[in-house]
Amino acid sequence: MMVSLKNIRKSFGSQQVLNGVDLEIDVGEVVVILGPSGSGKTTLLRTINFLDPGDEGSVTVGNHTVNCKKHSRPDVLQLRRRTAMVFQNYNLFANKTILENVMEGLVTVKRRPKPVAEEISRKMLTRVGLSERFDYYPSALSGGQQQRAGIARALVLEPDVILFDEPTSALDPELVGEVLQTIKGIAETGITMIVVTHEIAFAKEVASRVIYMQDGVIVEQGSPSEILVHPKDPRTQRFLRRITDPSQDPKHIDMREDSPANEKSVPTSA
Amino acid sequence: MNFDFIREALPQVLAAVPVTLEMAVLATIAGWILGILMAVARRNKIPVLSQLCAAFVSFIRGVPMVILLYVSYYALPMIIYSATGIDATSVPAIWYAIAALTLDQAAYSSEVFRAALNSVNRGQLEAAWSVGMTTWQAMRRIVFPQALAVALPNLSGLFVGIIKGTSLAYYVGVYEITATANLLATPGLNFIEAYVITTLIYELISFICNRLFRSAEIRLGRFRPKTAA
Ligand SMILES: Nc1ncnc2c1ncn2[C@@H]1O[C@H](COP(=O)(O)OP(=O)(O)O)[C@@H](O)[C@H]1O
Ligand SMILES: [Mg+2]
Repeated sequence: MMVSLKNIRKSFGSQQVLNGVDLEIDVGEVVVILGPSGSGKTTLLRTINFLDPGDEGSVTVGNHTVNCKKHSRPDVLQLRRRTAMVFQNYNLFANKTILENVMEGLVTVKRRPKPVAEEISRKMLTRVGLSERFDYYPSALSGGQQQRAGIARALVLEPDVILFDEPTSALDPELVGEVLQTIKGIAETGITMIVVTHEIAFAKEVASRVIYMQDGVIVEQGSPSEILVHPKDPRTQRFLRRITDPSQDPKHIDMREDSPANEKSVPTSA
Repeated sequence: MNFDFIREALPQVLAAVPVTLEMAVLATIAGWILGILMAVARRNKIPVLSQLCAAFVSFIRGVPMVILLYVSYYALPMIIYSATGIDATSVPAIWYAIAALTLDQAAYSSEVFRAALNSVNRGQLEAAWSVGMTTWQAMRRIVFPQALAVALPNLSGLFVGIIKGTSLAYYVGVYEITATANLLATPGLNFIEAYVITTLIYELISFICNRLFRSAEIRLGRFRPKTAA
């Protein structure tokens, strides 16, 4: 078992966002998490590396278990060193070049000598197709290039698991493909990944397991064909109907209330 | 215009420049360190400390610099004496001036640093955490360098402001540029000439400081988009 979440609960104020999530992920699995906006997908990923600590439950990565209720700073640091995250908005370090962004964790966290870190980082950037951009600052790159650099930054640390939070949602449509292609290439290397995304085609092709989440719980999970082609739960069915409707922007599907105003006959504003 | 006076007085006024610079530089270093600490306390909303800092800033901003100097010069020795029993009255006046200037710089710079820290989006801090960096590593390597680049134009203004502020140390008897010029002008009533000299010197110092800050800005701001000039 690579990742194990037990009964994760999390509230923001009076709003219960995660209602007891249990999840076991094996080494090398590629888990895709689907769900409407506001269902708690981002929060779930963030409880794994304690950017948002859960209120209850426990998180295990590799053989390191941290109790959400009583976690110490070294505990959390350990957990973060076993995980890496790719953010929706890239969150590259703006004051560092792409190469320095990738080297940063190797140098400050893994204490690799600079020349070694630089060599590894160059290789990693080349792998994600950025060999011509080592010395560029993030502000000089396209969104797709920034996100591929973000992926290199995560991958270079050889984490036990990489957490992707809607890695292509902020991208212009013509840049989505190159990033998905990069992620697919990484998935094939056998690293464990959890990917929150609305890209159904990507999920079908790359996922070893698909999870459908709504209202802070896992509604159902299974192989891509079980969930994406033959979903059993009506909530999953309704979500998939909407997400495959070309008139809907999947990022803005909100199914928390099942009012008729949410049905697909209502055109979305541009 | 008495050019003989100018020729004689100029070297003596120039000799007071180090006194002015000493006050400005020491107060700036101490003030900005305090300013950064207060900005961090307020940004992280540390209870009590954060409110104290806010009160301090608004208090200092409401007090004229001259009053701050007098308070420092006359009240500080008393406070030190009653707190520690040490007689501080023999401490040279310049140190009280530096103390007052430090408080002033701390208050104003903390606002500059606070805005600058807020300008660095939280996502970068989270990214640093996500790769396993500690908060201190993230602040030192990611957040502070960017905040400094944002803060520099305002800091430059503060520094030039404090150079002029040092002239008030005259009131507590520190012989910096203004006081020296005044002293020399008094016997022959050459005040116009003395003020021409001081004006030129302050202008020159400001000019050099602005250039230095500008080049630091360019160096620290390398990462910013070229259009943001
Ligand atoms: N830092 C926060 N403070 C308050 N509410 C939050 C915070 N982060 C998320 N939420 C709320 O939690 C719910 C779930 O959010 P999120 O995990 O981002 O959902 P998803 O990623 O599935 O769209 C939303 O209603 C959101 O408004
Ligand atoms: Mg989200």
